[in-house]
Amino acid sequence: MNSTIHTENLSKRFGHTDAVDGVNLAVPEGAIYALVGPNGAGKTTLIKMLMNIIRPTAGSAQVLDIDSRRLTGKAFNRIGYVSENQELPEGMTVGGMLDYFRAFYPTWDCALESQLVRQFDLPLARRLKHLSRGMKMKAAFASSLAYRPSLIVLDEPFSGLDPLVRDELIEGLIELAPETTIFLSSHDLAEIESFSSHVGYLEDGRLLFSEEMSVLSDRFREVTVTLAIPAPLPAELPASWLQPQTEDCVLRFVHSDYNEAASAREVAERFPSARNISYDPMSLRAIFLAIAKSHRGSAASQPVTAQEVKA
Amino acid sequence: MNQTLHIFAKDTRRFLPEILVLLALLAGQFGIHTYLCATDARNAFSNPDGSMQLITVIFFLLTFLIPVGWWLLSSRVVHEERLVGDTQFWITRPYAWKSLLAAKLLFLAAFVDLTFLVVQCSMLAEEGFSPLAEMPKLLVNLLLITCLYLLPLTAIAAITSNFARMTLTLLGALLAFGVAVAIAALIYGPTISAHIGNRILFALAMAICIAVVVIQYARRKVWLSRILLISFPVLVCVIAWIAPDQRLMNRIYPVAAAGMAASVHLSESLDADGAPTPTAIGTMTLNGNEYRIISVPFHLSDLAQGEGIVTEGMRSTVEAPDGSRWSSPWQPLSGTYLPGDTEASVNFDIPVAIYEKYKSIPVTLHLDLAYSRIQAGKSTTVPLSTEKFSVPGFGICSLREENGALNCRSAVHRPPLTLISANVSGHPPVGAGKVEVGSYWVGSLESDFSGANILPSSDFTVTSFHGADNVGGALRFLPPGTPITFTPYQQASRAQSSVTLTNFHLPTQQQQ
Repeated sequence: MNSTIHTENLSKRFGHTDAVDGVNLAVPEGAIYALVGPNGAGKTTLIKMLMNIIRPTAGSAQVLDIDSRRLTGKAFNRIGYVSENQELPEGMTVGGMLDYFRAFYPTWDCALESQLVRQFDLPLARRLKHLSRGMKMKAAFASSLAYRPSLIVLDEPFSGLDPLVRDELIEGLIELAPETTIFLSSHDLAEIESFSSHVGYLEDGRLLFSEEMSVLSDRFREVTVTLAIPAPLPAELPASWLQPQTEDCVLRFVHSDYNEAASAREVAERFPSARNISYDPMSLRAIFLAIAKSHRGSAASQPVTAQEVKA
Repeated sequence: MNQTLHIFAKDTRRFLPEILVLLALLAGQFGIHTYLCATDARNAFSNPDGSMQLITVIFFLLTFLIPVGWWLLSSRVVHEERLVGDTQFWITRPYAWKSLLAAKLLFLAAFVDLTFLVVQCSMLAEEGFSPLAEMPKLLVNLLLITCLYLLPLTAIAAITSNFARMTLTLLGALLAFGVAVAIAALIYGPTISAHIGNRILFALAMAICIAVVVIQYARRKVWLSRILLISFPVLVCVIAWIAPDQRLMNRIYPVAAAGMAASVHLSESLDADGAPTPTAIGTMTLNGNEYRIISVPFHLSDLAQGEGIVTEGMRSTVEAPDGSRWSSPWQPLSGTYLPGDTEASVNFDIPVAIYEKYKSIPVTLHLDLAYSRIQAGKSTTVPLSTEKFSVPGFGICSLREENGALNCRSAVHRPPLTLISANVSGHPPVGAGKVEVGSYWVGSLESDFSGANILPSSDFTVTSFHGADNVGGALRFLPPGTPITFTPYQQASRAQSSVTLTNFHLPTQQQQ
């Protein structure tokens, strides 16, 4: 499958700080790719490099087969970009802004524009500076979807929005841009879990993994082993077993490379006296918490790194 | 082009209030100007009528506020799609930088340049000039306005994010430039090269401003642009430090080649008995250093009819019998001489320490003179009148009966270098005194580059004529009807001549 976004060792250094450190990323065409990570992980910096807002210190990125450093002017006919930090032409009315942008895009779809205005309930006659944050974000979405871009890049688009507005935006995004590749960043896992097809996890500027959501969900299981008698944590557990802990007769860990048959055999071999072994699917939030905590603990960081960049 | 016009139309709608304010200022200036023309009182500060003084004050206030309006408008239009920062909406939209830059320039051309030009034409027409005939001067003035006001304002707006920051940066830039000029003056003193250097600095400033604007619109390299702008005051000092004074002067004012006659010949000035004309001395303090000003008379000859010279610079070299010597840098020297003028004088500055060293011994004084050779153009003789009369290529004049002064107004800039001459009488009542040819120089050889003018014309008054006896300064009364001749002079060439005075004694008697 073709990649809409492809990066090679993309890096950005601010002074002595590596904001983004050697990121290799591939976003397939048509994917809804969620880049997640804690605040300060480098998500916005990475997106700004992709959009040629800032220049990489090293490495390169291709966006719609264009070197990101050459991404200017007409190249943005096919890209929609919405950021929580982005300024809008505040002095214009919503209608004035849409009128103004319309002339820039040969593919502007007036019917879609009308639909977006209706769906987002946008007040065309009001100036942008008089709108609430949610309404401004809706206006930004409408102005970035109406020309049917091939790629939509969203930087923390739902941050600080109430759930109703957030759902409206997600709904509009999925309904009105079905063939568009969407690349969005977020630190709120719950909001992207429902609609993302791919996910990447960035921490301290490094991409810890990047893969399809379904593969990720299949790969992670919370394993609970109930032993006959209380036992200490065994030494030298496999690297793919994250956050192992025991409490009386119960041992828990997160299996980061789960395979139904192989994992069952492996766990059973390790704990022959186990009375019960359960494998529970995990929410995206639980997976990321496990990864983040493991990554921060030096002993547990290796197993995750081994899974890096599967997509 | 479509995108350019689209952005231009958006900016026009967006900044309509600001545009209307600027147009109101221009309209106000034009309205008051029309009133002042009707009452013939543009310079009415001395008018005892208080209301006229107030109107004149408002007129000059508006004239001051118009550039402030340009400042505001340039800030608003550039900052609308600001070039500093990474959160602007437009940088991820399909803007072509050339279209964006063209739209901004078109906006400034339409609402600053064009409106200014229209009002200037209207005011000139009110004053009795033909705007069409004066269009070349108007366009040159407009170019200077654009270079001296709009371009630096646009460049500073391009490296700032809002009006407040732009204002602070502008003040900082002016301060830095002032300090640089002061440092340059300290390094080099008052030299003719500084005058030439101004042109180099002007070209340099324009090149830097254009580069900053283009870099910002094409690449948004803010720090590079800021470094470029900061480099300008540094370059002012560097140029003052390394300016090849003599080479520059020799290039601009070539020394007459061997075998070629110089257009003017300098020699020691002698009195009727053949003795050297006495020299004089004064004092001056410059940048904390004390100088002696030595005034040396010299004799001029070989000036052909219809020609003249305008002295522009001089350099002095003092050489002692023991071989030690001191040379001054090229210093400004102003003076205009025609064939009838045979005696002139050169003032040069010499540091006190050097003066003390050489004052008691005979020295060889070598004076190099840089000058422009001027050629008389076609003279126009018109009868003097209290009514306005037009002098082609010069301006519009009239005689003020109450003080006998000749009031003239020239379109846009000062007129070209012109000799006004007439038969004048030295004593009232009219015609009672001795009649002699009096003359007065007005204008400049470089009238087109004397600076941007926000007013449509330049006024000047001739209150005195230098008589044929060269006494000068006395008020000469001109009766109406007196034929008065205006002779324009054009620069024919530039050259250097020199005179060497041997066994010269630096004067010791100080004059106040």
